[in-house]
Amino acid sequence: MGKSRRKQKVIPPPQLPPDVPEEDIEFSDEDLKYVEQNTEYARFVSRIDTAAIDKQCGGRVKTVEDKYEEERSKKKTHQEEKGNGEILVDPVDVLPIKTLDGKLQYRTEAKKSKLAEANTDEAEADILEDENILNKSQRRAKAKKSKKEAKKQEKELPNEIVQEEETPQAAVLAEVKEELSAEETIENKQNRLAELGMLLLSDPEANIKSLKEMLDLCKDKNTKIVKLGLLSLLAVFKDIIPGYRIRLPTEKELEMKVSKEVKKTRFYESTLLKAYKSYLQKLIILEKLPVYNQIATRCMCTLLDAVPNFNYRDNLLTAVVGNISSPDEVVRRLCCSTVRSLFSNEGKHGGELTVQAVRLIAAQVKAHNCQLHPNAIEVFMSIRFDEDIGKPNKEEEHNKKYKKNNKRKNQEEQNQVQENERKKSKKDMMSKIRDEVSADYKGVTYEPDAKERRKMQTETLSAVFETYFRVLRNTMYTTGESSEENPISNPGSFGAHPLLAPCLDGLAKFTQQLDLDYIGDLMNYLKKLASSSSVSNNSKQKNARLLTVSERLRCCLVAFKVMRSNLNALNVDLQDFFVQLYNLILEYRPGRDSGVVLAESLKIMLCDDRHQDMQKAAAFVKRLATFALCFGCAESMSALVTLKILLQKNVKCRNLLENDAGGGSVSGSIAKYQPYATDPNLSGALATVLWELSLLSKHYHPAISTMAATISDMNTSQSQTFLSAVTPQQAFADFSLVKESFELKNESRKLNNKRKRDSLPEEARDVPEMDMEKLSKKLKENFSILQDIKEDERVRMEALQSEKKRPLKKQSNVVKKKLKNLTPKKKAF
Amino acid sequence: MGKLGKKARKFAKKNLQSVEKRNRKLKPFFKKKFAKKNGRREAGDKEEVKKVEKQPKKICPVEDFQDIPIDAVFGKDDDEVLHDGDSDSDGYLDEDSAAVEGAEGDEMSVQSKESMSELKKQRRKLAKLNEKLVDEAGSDIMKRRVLSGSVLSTCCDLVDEKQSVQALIRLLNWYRAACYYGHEPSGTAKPDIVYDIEDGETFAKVLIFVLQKADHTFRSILGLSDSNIKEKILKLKNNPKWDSLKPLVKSFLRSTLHLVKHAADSEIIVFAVTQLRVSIVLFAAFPDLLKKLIKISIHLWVTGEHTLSKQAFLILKDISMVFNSECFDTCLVNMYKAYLHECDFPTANSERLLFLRDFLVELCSQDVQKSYTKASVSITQLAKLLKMALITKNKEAVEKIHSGQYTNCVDLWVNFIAANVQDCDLKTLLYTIVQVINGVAQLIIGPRYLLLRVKCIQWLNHLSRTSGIFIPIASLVWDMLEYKTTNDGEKQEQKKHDAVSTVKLPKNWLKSQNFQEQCIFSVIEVLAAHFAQWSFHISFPELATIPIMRLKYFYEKSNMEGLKRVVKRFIEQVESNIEFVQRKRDDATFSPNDQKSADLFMQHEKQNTNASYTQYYQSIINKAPGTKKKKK
Repeated sequence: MGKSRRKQKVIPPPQLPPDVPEEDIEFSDEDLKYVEQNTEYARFVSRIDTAAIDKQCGGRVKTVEDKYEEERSKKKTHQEEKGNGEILVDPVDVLPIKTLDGKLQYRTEAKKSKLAEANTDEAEADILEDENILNKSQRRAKAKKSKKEAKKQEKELPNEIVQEEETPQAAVLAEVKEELSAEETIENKQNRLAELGMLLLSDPEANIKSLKEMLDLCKDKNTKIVKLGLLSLLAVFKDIIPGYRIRLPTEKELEMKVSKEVKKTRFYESTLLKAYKSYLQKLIILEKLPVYNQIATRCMCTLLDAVPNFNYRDNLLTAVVGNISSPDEVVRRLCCSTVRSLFSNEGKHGGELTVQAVRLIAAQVKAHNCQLHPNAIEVFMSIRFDEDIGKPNKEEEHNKKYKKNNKRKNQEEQNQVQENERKKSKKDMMSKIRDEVSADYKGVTYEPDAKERRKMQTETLSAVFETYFRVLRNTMYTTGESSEENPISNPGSFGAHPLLAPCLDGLAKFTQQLDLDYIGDLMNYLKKLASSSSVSNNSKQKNARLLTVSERLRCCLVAFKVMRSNLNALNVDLQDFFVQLYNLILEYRPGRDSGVVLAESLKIMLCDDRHQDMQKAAAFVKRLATFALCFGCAESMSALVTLKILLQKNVKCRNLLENDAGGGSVSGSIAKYQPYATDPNLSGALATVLWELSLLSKHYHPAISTMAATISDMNTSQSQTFLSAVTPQQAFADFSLVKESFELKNESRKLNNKRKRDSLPEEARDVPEMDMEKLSKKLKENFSILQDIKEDERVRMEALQSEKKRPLKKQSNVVKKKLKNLTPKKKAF
Repeated sequence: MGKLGKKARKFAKKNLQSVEKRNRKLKPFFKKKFAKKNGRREAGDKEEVKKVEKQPKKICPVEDFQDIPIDAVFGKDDDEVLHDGDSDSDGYLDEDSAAVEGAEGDEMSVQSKESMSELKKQRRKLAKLNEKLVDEAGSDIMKRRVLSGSVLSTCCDLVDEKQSVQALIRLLNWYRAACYYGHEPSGTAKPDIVYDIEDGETFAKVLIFVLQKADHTFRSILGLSDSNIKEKILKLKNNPKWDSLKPLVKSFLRSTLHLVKHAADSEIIVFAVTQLRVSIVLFAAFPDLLKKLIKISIHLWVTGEHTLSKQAFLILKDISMVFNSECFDTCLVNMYKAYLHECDFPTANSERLLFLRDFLVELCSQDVQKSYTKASVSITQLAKLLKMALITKNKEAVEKIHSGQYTNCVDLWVNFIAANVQDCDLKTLLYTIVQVINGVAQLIIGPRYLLLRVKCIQWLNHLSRTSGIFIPIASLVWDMLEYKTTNDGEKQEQKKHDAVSTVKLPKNWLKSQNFQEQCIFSVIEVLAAHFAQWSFHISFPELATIPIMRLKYFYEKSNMEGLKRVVKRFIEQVESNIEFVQRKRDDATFSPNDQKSADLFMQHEKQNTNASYTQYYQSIINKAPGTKKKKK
């Protein structure tokens, strides 16, 4: 209680005039008395590193004064040099009441400036925030926290323990040396790391030099220490790296006379930068070693994610992208998520990194000849292209609108945007104040103007599409004719065409951005890919290189999506894709191919198609019905749903439901149905009848049999209102086994089968014939055995009884021995 | 800091210690608590005569599935039920035998008055002889009663002809001694009287005689016919004779049970069991003994060899039919558990499992209504396990699906449904089990699980055939066509791999050519069974379209002549079938929505099995090892 009361008194409340020199602060009697009474609390005074304090205080106090002056003159539009920019935070608002215990407070009061305090608090707040936000850094944060606690404890304990430990060590070093195990050294080092880290976090400017020591610790031979060191440094850097990029002063600038603070800031910045640089170098070196691969990657990813605006980000990005297809699952995921967050949080770095990352990925895809992990390209899906950037006049509004739209999308983005806006408004104000400063500021800030952004976006797009097209071409190259030339080229550890699937997904997503000029090419590619392995293909040997059914279905899908999104503006014949789909339906195989893709293709290619050729529709209707006969309920259901929709749209196709004698009037040019035809237009499906429905209505799944019955009654029941809202995809999802509830409805109904209990007597015939003589013989044998056993038992019983009188001789050795010891006693009995 | 670390560690250690201690204290407590809870719940359930229901309902939280094996469902009440019988110790007929002894002389005289003088004399002599013997042995207070052949034959005659209760009592005591012979250390049970048996001849005779005649004698004394009507037995409780006879019956049953339980030779057991089956009704008066009987019978059913197992099953069946539904439940549940337990042994003999399964199905079919609830509970459990595995794909869960228990359980219910689906409405069960089987087939991909997949398809075919419902299987077959072989593997010895329990094939097997042959043969076999069912259905051409297309594709690609020939023949036969149906179909005048006409379509042709393809299908089905057994 006393402590806390005291604490409040000692800390000057923020409203106090800050220009009172420290020497002038008058301690009340109460204070003095308290110190006198609790001398041991003040013992630390004797241990205070006066030199450090002097050094710090000299500059510190002045900084504080400067800062407050500046605060007053701020409204007079005086722009300070950039060194103070970071200190610009209004301390009056930020300064919280310290919740640490009194001693620590005392000390801070004595040697630390309020500013430093503010910094520390901010840092701490950051740490807490990080803990909440960054899942991956949680462990590290925890470690940090525990270190902090340890540190706190250490401060509570007088230093003498340490001294105690050290002095005898020095005195009897020779003796203790051997006893001092490696473990202890490690522990010492760990503690040292924690200490340094804490110091840096609490007051980065004063302790900036400790960075070097920490770096040195990272050169340890023990991997554990190195890892800990790397992580601690990561934590430190993440907190102390400023929000701007550091530009080292040129020689000219160095020659110029500058004030003390500027010098100090310069020193601080250059030390930080140097340390950061060597840290990164270390990381990049360690990343190549398998032992450190994960940890180094984690450090780099976290750094890139946290401070994408700082110096050397290019190196970081290169390293991270280099690992994006790492065989190590953890590393790969880390890298991918980092790159993704770069893409989705462009505000942090102004989009420059996006361009770079995309380019780097593109280069990597090129270098590896498309043999990368699918994740490498999947990250492109997180890029957002803003179409409105192009209009310079409305840029501002549009941007806002765009951002507002996105606000709803994700929470993170919202914070980002707010931050952006805040910064922007700040920027505006400053630019009003002084053009020069604003130009300067622009140099370091990361908010590019619209033109640049547009340019960057174009570059990004082109790199993305370059990658996509490269993948497509590569796939074609490997599946096409040339596959015979180099059949040996190994399929790689990622499968035959690892990048194709994400590439197609991406194409489908970004089709809006695609230049119309390329669409023709794209369609050609897709067409070739979709037809790359038809049944008639003879190159069976290279089966591994052929595209799977799902991949080909995807190609068809993308083609349709591209056409749709361009409002069918292009006159491209999609007929080939229908042919492909017609055949692919037959090649589909459950476990191997994705039923979801199939359902989607059915939906997009058949259900959504507006005007269809009757011949074609009939062919598909027939084929889907046949398909439904052979596959599981999910596939069957989606096929039936599609079939129903097709029949609803094409009234004439309902002739298939009727068995018209003589084939009917509409049977086109082909008089007989060809079930194995590869072209829907040549199948002659109109000449057949949907007999499948008859068997399907016996299907074990009640939903399917009902569906089949409904379809077969479509012609007679005139109610055309029942336009089913279910899509094939929906049907597929609903009827897949994973969704199956397997809930047996436990209706307690009476089964007509009553218990048949009354038929006992005739069961007698089941009695096996027994040979009584044999049986009695057996019994006799059994008896004699039993008798023997019994006899044996009796003998033993007797033996046991006699044992009471004299010790038994035939016992196991151990027992014998024991017994031997016992014999005299027993004899005594 | 170093010190601090130490200190902190110390502190933590201290703290941890307490925590640990507490944990240590709490853990068993929790365990006990839960165990108790479970037990209580089970007990409660038991009162409701719904033992099986416990199984899944308890395990509803999804996470728990994996910890609970399929058969553990019934885990605890097993012991409860079955140990009850042991609780009451059995001895000789106390009072009766005392009466016999104490009044032996009188008894004899009483008897002699009634019986013929000739007999009387004999008896007296014998009694004297006995007494002599007793006196001889009486050196240490124990009275020894040794049964000799002559005494026995007299007793037997008395019982046989006169239905003499006293002689019966004696006989039963001897019988008891014979049953317990060698199992009861002399001198523990009743130190004052010891029944001993003279020689093997007498031993055999007393056992055989009592086993053969006891039931009849009881009945004739009680004035009952040979029928097995339980109600009559229950009515007997008012019968004055019953009171006197009850201990005798009890002794007989008890001794027989002991004999059955402990006899070493299976033939003896079979004989005893067979004889015991006649007097099952008598167990109505002794529920404890009944429980014991159930337990022993189940044990014998599961472990015994063929005849014994069958006899034991017949006992169980009789029990479940004669007594109330609770007994049926007990039998079913325990048999089910025993069966699943048996499945768990990796060495389990597949034929034996089929044998047991058929018995179990037979029992279930006795009372479909009751079995229905059990089956639905069990199937729900299976489904939940499957769902778990489908969702998580985690290795343990999948492993569980592969287990012999799981597959055998599915097998059991498939056969149950197949056996009863025509008489009863089992639609929901059928649907669920089909979905479960589909799920299993979907979950297990890869050539190593070929047998399980084939089994799944066979199940589906079986269900489809018996229920007349269409279950598509074609899509499950494709994989098997494409299991690649490297062709370099030399022909390996053909092993029998038709077991349900051999789920996973050895890896080296997959490389062999033999394996591919096996695959193709299985494909053709299951497809033939599928097509045979629908070969006269109007949709047959469409049904066969895709399979034929795939087979043709395989035919083109394959380079194994032997297989190609088989496949080709199959394709030809199916195509002729298609053609035939198509020709007939062209004459049809109805539309697909006319279900009735469609059902009648080609019914006439169906009767006629001369078509080449029909015979072909049949020959394939008959050749297949799996189905052959089923036919049997």
